[in-house]
Amino acid sequence: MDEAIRREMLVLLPRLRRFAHALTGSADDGDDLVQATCERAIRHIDKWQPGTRLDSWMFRIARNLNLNNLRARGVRGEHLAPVDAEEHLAVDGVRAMESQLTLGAVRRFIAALPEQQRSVLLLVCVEGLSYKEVSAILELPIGTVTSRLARARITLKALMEGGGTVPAEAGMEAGP
Amino acid sequence: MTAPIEVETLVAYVDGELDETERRRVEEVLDTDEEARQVVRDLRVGAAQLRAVLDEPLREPVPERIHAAIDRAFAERAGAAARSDRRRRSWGRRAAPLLAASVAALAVGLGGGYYLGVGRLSDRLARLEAARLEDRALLEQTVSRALEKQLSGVAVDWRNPNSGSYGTVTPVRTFRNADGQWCREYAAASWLHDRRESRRAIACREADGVWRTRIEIAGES
Repeated sequence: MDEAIRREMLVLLPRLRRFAHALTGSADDGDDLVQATCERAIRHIDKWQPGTRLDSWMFRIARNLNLNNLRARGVRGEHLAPVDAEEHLAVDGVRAMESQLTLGAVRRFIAALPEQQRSVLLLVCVEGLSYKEVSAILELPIGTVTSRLARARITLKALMEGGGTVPAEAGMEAGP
Repeated sequence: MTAPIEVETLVAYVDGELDETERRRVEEVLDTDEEARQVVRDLRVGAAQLRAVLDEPLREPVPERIHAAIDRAFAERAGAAARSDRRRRSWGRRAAPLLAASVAALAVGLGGGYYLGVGRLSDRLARLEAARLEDRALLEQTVSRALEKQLSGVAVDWRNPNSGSYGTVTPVRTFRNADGQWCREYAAASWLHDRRESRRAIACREADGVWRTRIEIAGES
């Protein structure tokens, strides 16, 4: 039993690292988060239901641990940021987009996103999870997942159109 | 002119999250609305670039300290199980506590060793499996890129530094099928770590911009 779980865990380690690196914005912090996530998952492995997705469960642990870290470090606004203003984002003024994003521009973009948009964006666009899975991981209604995701992706689109500069009005918050 | 579609709907469309009716409605709008088409393209490109930039951890080995932490945590679990097992048994037989303790210590030791041994093997298997999945994903990405962008007769290369696998994808010819979709025949040759694989196939471009392989003629492998 343990051996099967262990094998599945090892297979998903590269993806967990990708998620954690992007979520924390650093390789070192990301690896710390991966390690803490694995330790916690193994200690609480009896809470995982065999037959359900181990990756979703571990992404959830990673995300919650990271959120606790942010709060402990006193990063303000992560929780209270008004990221869900439900204005209707109509399609307008779309320009052609051909720019290649650089690694640095994308890292800055992800770091500048409020955590609530960052986690949704990474789980959907990078990890390829469904809205339903993400809504279970983050314990959010699907509508909230959808609107946060749209906000993040529109900011990303604006970033590409602007050739790497993040527009100020795009729902970003200044870091502490 | 049709009513403008909210970006949220287009995002859900790109992520394959709309039901059949909604999807049809969006596709109808996309047929006539160049701006909406551009948004869909941008969203796809944005997600692809995000993945491309963040994929680095997939290509590098997982640090040893994470493996060590996993080994430790599983060994602790096995140790805790052995201890509670011993406790249960010693309820019946109080005799020879020393012996029981040394048996438990042995169990912990064996448990740790067992995990370490199997850990390295499953680690290798996991890496092989991850590299195989990466090869597959790279091949499919290259097929999409070649069909979308490359002229017939010109090869597009791919290479996975993690596995050493590499290959080429060459569009062969382009035509429209009875449904009016653009279709392309292509040839893909791949040198995977343990074998050579070649594929000749026809893919057609669906309304969502995805090239879907329809007919596959498996080649010599």
